[in-house]
Amino acid sequence: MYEWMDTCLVAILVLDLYILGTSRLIAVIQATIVQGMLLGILPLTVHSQETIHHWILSISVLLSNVFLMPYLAILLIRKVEIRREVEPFLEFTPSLMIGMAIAFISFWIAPYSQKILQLPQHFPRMLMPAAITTAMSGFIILATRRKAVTQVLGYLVMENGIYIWGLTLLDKMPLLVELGVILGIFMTVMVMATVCYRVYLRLGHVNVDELSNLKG
Amino acid sequence: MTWHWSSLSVVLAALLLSPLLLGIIPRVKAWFAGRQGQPLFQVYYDLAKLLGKGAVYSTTTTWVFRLGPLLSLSTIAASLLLLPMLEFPATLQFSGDFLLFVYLFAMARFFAILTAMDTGSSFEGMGASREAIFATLTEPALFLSLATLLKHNGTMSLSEVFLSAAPLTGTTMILIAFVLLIVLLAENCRVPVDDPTTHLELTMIHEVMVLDNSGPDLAFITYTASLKLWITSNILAQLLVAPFPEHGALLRPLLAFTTMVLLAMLVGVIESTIARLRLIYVPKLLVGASMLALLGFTIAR
Repeated sequence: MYEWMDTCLVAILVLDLYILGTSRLIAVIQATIVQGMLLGILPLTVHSQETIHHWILSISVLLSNVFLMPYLAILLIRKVEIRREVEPFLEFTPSLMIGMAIAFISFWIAPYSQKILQLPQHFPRMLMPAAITTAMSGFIILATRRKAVTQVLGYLVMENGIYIWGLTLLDKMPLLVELGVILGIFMTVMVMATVCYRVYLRLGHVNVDELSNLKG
Repeated sequence: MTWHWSSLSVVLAALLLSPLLLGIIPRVKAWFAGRQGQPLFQVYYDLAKLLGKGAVYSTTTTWVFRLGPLLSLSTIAASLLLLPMLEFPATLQFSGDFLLFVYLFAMARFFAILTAMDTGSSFEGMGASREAIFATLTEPALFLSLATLLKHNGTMSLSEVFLSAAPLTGTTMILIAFVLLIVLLAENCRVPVDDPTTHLELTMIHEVMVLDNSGPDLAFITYTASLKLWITSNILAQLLVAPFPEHGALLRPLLAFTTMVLLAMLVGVIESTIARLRLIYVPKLLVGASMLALLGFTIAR
């Protein structure tokens, strides 16, 4: 019944692990682009009466997550001339393992959370774990990487997770809320990209741990 | 505990055909480089030549060095009895046989490491240490892939997994097949983990461990390597052909064997097209493979 959706979600999970394990920023951006495409397909795999609702969501996600935000990110890493994340606070292999541990735990707690949220019985079993894992991998990147540029990308990944989470409530939540979230994230990424570039212009690097030196 | 004596014929086939599988890889590489390449049966000739020679032993070595290759070969040969091959049940089948299989498989490597350490050469000790760490990281990947298959079929025996009526399909199968391919490359010391043709001190792993072995001992080691390639490609091939519908008794074993030959060719293609990973990235690849296998285990039903 949910075969296509499950395939998409497994691919998203694999991409999460890839993003956590790689140091090359361009690879992270490419992975978020592929994730964005899969996210665009996801609403169409949900069987529902309100198809127009799903199409609008799908197209807006494709526009923002596949074109606009990766474009901004690529522009940013070109401007600040950073190719790799070097020596993050948490190494890549441990963060990969933590990401997988989160996936394991979220698969374990998903049935309980579905019961609490009173979601229907035939609810797709991978939606909730994929949402939690993607959001948490974004959070791990946001919290443990040294470069501000990588943190912008972590924000992108986290947004993908929140979007999957929103899909669980697709029939209940108005379209406007969903679109508002996407727009908000887009603005945030744009602002963060601008800030990063300004910091780079002023200081010549975007290492966040050295920003505390600025405190008076 | 169940014995399938008729499966001994498949074990015999494995013992006879495995050097052929090892001979396919250099042939594909030669074809990629535009050369004629060695004969397909070159490994048999090598084995025959080496068995006819005498062995040279360094004075620093002990009986461990002389016994190692033989023990390594015999543990691998013993693990053949526990593995269902070419769509036939394993010769010896019992609940939990996969544990014994994986550990027999790992024990062969343990003896290879002991042999290398016994030479007292710091150079071989370095190779042994690398072999040990990569083996440690490959083992969870192999275990978790097998565990995924066992979980899917709700059994504890390998024979029931590969002969099951409801084999693993879909995304989980792709994940596990990918992990098993990396396990295949790592266990057989192939590119991107190790380069079997290298003779550069700093990058050798498996090759450096067998530098001191000669004559029959080297023949045993080569034969062990070919059996390892047979076993790992056999597991992957059976996973890949399992979803195909049943047609006749002989067709499926033939299909499985063809897949194994194709996998050997794929190893040749991989070796010709991609470079070997830098040593520090190999653990990352292997841990990544283990994590993918764990993901497969988590989503399998």
